[in-house]
Amino acid sequence: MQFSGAVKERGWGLFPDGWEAEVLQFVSDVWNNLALPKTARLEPRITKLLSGAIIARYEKEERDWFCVPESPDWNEEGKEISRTDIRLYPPGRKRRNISLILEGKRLNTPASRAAEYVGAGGMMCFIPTAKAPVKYATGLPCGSMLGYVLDGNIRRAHAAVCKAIRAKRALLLLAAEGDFSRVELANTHEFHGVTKHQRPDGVFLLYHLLLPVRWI
Amino acid sequence: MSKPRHAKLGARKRDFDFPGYFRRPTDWESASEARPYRHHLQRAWAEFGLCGVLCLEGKPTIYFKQVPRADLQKEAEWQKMLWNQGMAAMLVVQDPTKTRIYSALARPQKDPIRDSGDARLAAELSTAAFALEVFLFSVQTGQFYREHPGKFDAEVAIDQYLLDNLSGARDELMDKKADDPLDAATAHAFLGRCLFTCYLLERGIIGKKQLKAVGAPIAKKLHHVLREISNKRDAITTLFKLFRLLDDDFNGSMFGGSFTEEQSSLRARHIDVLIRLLCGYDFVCQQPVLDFDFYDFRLIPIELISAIYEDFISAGEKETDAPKNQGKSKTVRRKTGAYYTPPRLAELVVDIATDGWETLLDKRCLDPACGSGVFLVILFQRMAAEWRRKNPSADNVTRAIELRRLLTTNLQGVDSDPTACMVACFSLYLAFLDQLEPPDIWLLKAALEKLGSEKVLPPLLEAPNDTASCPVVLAKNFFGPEVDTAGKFQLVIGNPPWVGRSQSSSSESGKSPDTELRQWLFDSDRNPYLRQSPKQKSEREARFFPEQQSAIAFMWKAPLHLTSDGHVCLLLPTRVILSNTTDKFQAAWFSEFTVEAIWQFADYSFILFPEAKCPAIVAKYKSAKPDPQTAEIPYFTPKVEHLDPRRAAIVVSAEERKALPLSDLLAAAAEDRAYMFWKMPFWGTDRDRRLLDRLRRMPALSEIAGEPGETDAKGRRKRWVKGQGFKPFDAEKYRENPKRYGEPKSRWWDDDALFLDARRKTWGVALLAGVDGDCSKIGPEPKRLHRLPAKPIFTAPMVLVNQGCSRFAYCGFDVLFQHAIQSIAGPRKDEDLLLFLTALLNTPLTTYYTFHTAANLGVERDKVHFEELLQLPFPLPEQTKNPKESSEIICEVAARLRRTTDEMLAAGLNDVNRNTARLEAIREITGLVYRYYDLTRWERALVEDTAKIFRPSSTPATYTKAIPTVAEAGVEDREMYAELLCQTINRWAQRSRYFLTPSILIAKREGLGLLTLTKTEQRVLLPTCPELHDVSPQMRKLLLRIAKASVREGAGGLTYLRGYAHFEEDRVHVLKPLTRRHWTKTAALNDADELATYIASMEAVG
Repeated sequence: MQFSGAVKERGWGLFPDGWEAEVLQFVSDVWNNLALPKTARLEPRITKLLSGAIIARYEKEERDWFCVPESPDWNEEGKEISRTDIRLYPPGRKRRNISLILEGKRLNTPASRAAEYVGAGGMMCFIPTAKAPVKYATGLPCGSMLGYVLDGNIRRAHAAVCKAIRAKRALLLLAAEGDFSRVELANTHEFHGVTKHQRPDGVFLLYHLLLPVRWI
Repeated sequence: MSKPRHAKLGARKRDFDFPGYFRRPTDWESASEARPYRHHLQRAWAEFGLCGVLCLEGKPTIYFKQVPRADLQKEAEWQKMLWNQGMAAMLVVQDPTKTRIYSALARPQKDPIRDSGDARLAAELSTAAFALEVFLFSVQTGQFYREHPGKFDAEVAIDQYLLDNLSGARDELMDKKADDPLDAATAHAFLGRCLFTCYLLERGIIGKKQLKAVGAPIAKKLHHVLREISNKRDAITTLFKLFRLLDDDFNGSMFGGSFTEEQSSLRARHIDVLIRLLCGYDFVCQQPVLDFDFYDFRLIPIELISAIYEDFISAGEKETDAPKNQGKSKTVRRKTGAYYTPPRLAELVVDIATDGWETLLDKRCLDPACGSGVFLVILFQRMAAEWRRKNPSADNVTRAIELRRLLTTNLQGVDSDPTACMVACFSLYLAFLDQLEPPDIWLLKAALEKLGSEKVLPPLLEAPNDTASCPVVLAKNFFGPEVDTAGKFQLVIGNPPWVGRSQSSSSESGKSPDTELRQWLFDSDRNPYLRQSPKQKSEREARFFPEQQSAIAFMWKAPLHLTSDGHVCLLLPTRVILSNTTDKFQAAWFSEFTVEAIWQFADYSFILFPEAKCPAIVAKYKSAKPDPQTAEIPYFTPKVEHLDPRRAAIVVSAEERKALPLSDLLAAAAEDRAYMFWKMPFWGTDRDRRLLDRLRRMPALSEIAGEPGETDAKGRRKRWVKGQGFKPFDAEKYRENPKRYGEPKSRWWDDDALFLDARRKTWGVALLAGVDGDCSKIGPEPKRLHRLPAKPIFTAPMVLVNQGCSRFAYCGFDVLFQHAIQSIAGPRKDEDLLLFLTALLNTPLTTYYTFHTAANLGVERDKVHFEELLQLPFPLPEQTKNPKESSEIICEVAARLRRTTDEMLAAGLNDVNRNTARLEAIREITGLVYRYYDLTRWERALVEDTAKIFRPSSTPATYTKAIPTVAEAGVEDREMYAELLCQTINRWAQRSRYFLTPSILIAKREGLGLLTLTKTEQRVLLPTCPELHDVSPQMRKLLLRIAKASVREGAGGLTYLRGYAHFEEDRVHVLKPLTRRHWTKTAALNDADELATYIASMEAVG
């Protein structure tokens, strides 16, 4: 379809926060309705349950999103080089180069684990280093971290994550005024936020959803 | 005195401004999409005296002409000219009172039109009632053609007519029943020279002076000259005198050869045949055209002459023993892999190849299998047009010399067939002469004579005394070393031969037809890609030469001839990507080259190449490795829309432009299902892709059905056996090669065993036993068998499947069948499950899955391979979300099918009643099967649309056949579309305070519908979508506003009519053609996705 014309409200007032916000809102809604079994204490299991719930929800809502759990990336020789936790595509697979990658990490297990959240297997997956190129979201403008807060104490998790981010700001290529700041989404809380990173390919937005676990 | 008030067609720009409508030749210079046709437009403008031209997608479509008063005899002449040019589809002639619309796809006649029944006259209406904008919209949407069936018949277009009659004339020249048959070479050379002479004479390049010099009567057409000479022996002498003169004046490449020998073999009968051909005699129907100059060689496009001539000559050269008047020998064509490339398709390929280039003048172009040189001719025409545009004040001699230079330095053709090279020369000479006015040619001749000894037409086949440089048309094998001396090119373009295993194995020698090709492919000193490939021969064959498909060899070699910024554009058989034997090739090739576009023409297969065995794709690529993680392959999948009755007039709508991730292709190739990567998005939408992915994640039927003794991944014997029926012993084949064919086997059944004949039309859903059943006793034959499958595949309970996998029946008793039937058989305890499988196979879900995943279905042949059918998702009840409910569904379905069997038996031999019982059962079962597969409401909609609308619409044989997607959408279709679209978006936007409500405006004559979604703040109960039929000027103004907005936005041409959304403050207008394809549930869901995504990304302005 070809489009023309202009509108006075962002997202024509129907989707005022754009697609990424729709996804984050959606994930947040799904999470709020998800209770985990007591046995689901490891990150891969929690991610699997979440992605299953995402798929079930968007199928129920007849959305044409496309959620790929554990989506692999290959190098030129066809060798797998990384595997993202959850990758969500917008409707229209014609634009397959646009996707939102969600990387899950546990927090408050009861150990804080904020260092792991910002570390090599967490936020750093989205950031290149002197030694290694960026692992996730090459060429994409944004991505998202999911912090599964196992003890439900989001305030504590938020404080620890913010502190860890500040401590690693150079390595994380944090932009000036790029610190954790709140994102305004309906039905979410003040601990959902975004950080800005000055990657070599441009400014990269990393959203953070701190999700309190509700146990069955 | 006031001016006439019928000046609509020539209206000034401010009065009328329709995209693609040109009022004067200078207008199309600024429209880049129309520039490629500049040459034809100029010629038509001058010859017809036009006042306007409409170009759709850049292509000349309607000519407009104003006259002070009607002269129907003259108009008949113009219609003949229109037919001869074969370019535009219509000519509109307007006088102060009447407007007549003439068809280019109707056979010309001498007499003027008498009434509206005349096929030449598409429509006549009063000038006062003729609304130009409405007419133009209706042509754009194809509505005009649909409203005037029978007036636009592609079968009587100039190309088909001339081709048929050239073949007919050739057959008569070579008729062995006559006393004086010509051999093929002589007949072809004679006809070729005569066509060339006709062209020179009718364009006025030669005339009185030359005819006088050879003592011929003075006339403007060759057959007039010949008729004037009463003694045909004298006519032959005169004709050859003229050939010799032309050889002297022009060049040896066209008029060289043994005139003496050819002349001596010609008789008076041959001259009669020639005269009849040139008069327009219909050799197919044996109908004379009395006293009428049917052909007009001033106007027939030279690329058409050359393409037709190639087709005619390549089909005829090798079939000299074929029976006369039986059409073209398909076998011969398939062996050579040569097919006629319709000029319009060749134009499209050149459009694709040159897309994005600012200029052609600095480009060198190579056609590695040039045949008639149709691509070279089109490229030359475009180069010449560009040169003329950029050098408007150049004098005639400079222009002629520069164009001659372009011809000899910028173009290169290669073909191993010397005849094809001769045709390419013929075509290029015509193309060159066509760019010059007759006086220029003689000025050029004089100038060249002053400079040296060169003639007007440069030597193209070989350069005398020059062994260092490569001739323009090189009669060598592309895989030989000679081509390497030609240097590098910015473009390699062509239609390489499509010779595969089946053709080469049936060749007389039994060897590959092209040993040079094989030598290049498997010589690591010459094929640089071989160095990094595996060493095993089979691996190399699979990578470089799967199925011995020669086109694939061209795909590998062509990039080696490119400059660093060049690219390749080849017309190829679809099989190179849509085959289950090319996975290794695809993995290697797509990793090696950056693909800029793949155009899939499978839906146009029977329209573009009625006789071809395989549909075509166009691949455009460059010599650079892609990034496998991020690269995408642009994939264009145009569908037949009946927007234009001219063959190969192809329009691509926005939804047919896809971008496929290379990483997905590599993953699919690694799993040996690369064909599925291309097949699924061919007809499948984004929504289909999601459903298909979900279905593919389910366990496949092949996990439980295998060959007798076959085990699954866990080493357990598969639950069901599958296999093909027996094959009788063929004594003749045994005698040919006993070892290969094998010894006969004895049958194990007796004469009373039941047998099902696959050809019997009655069987389906459930096989019936008994006297009124589908089977009969097998009897004593066949006694010996070539193949004898295991007994279990003939043992009930089982599901029987015919060869194309289009008919499925459950069988509750043992029965024998031949190899045209396959079975899936299981133990008695699985009777219900096998009944359920039968039910599934008969539902739209199976049609849906196979249509989107099987390589051939909807592309080449209506056939699904049994192995493909076994990939159907078939989860057992315990593998579903709700095993208990699934088991209940299976029982219910099984009971329903048993009841159906009883109903069919009760119906007796009445086929109608039996069929009613079948259809009723399938209808009831379908809902249960959907529940078993847990299909959501929208998934069911996709399945039903594919089964009812898309599948029956695929690969139509002609434009005249009813095509469901092309039929006009009904009111219910439109309402359903609008409501589903709104419901879908409203559900997603439920957090917002807004709500969308639909309304529809229909402009029937224009063939357009305008859906308006209005944003309101109140959530109201969705009303039934109101529909208004409006032909008011306001509606037309709105359409025109949107059309112009689309041009500003770069959509341009027809594209915007295939789905265009224009946002205003509180509403969005979605413009759609009225054809059904655009108003399905599938379209509603996909449009909702696209609209919602776009809306979500919209920023506020102002």
